[in-house]
Amino acid sequence: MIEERYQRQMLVSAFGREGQEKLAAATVLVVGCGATGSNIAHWLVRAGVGRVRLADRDIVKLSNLPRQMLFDEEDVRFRLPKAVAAAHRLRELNSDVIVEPVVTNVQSSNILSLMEDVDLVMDGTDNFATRYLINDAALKLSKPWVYTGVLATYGMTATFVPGETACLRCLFGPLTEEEGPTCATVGVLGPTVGILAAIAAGEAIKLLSGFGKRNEQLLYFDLRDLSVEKLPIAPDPECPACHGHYDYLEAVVPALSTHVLCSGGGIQVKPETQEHLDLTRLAQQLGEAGQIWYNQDILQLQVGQVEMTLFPNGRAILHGITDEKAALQWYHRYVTSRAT
Amino acid sequence: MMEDKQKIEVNVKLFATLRDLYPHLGIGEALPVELEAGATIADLLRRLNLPRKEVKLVYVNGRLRHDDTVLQPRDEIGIFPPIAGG
Repeated sequence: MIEERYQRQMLVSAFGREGQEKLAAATVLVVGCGATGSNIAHWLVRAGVGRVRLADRDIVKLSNLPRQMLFDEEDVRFRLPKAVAAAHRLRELNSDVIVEPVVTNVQSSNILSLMEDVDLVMDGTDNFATRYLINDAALKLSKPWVYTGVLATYGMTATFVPGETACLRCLFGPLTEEEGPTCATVGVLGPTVGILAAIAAGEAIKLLSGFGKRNEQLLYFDLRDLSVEKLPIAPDPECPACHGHYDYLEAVVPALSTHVLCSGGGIQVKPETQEHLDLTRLAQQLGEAGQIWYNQDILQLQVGQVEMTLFPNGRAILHGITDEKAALQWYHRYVTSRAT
Repeated sequence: MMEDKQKIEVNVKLFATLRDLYPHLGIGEALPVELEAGATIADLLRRLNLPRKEVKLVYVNGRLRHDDTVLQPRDEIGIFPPIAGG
């Protein structure tokens, strides 16, 4: 069966049977399962990477469907976590592959355990805070990783190999608070994601199987005029991360933080320490506070225009609210004050 | 054009979101910018009135450079914002 399934890609002379066997023996972590992450995971699973771990914090929304190829309307209706919906679809596509969905916010407290047993890390995130964390963890554990960022009609990708290439921090300097435009503000066209994700997945296949030449530059692509720029990158001799100072991995995180999510436009509220909420009990305590829908994995509460999706670890995603302070107050009112 | 001894001219290409700030520029078209001799990248960014937070990478003749780099006549400059989405 393996012969038949992978026959066409094994025919590629530089890849061959040897390449296929290396893919089958590999484990890849995909951080974020939105547009780029789900497209990358899709290629890796179809190509026959042995084990693919998908970590994502979000649920599938209708506005994801134009570009997040693994999801459908039923996933939206059932409010499935993206990692779970993606894993379900991917297992249908290739049952040879072990797909491991992890519904979580990737953060300093869990990134090392998610990453320690993998051969390669693929960036499917929508923000630089998580990418700087990936960069620190990848340097600490000496794992190669591929950065991919996409907005509107353009995107960038770079391949970082600890000890051999520059790192994300060499290239972009320290993380700045202002992230600039996001796909929530300037939008994104699906094929742009497809192109960048396919390039990144191609890098993954090359890195894992050892054929071809990896991307040693910053590759920039714009769909508007199909322009491609390949820009040299060089290690920064003064880069703290390359010298073992993992500022983002070791950063102190506030007890309760907020973050505007790129894909669905919601605000995430997240406690620094993992809670173990009993959602059934909380649903009973919330009683008549609003419309409630829950199961053991997820609780949704709608009060007026505001809709909250709450996970048992205390993390929540709020829609219908645009101010991060207001989101915190809302969370305190309906979660912190009741879940005791 | 007669080149004034005190002035230099550089060619700037803007990428991604930064392109929207100069909508009259054609696709792939470089913007000629006249600067005082000795001007740095920081001076150029001020002249172009680019939002600082949207400028992440500045390439001069294909090399990544910092804000204090002094520009030379006819330098080819590419300016990129961070691309965070995914």
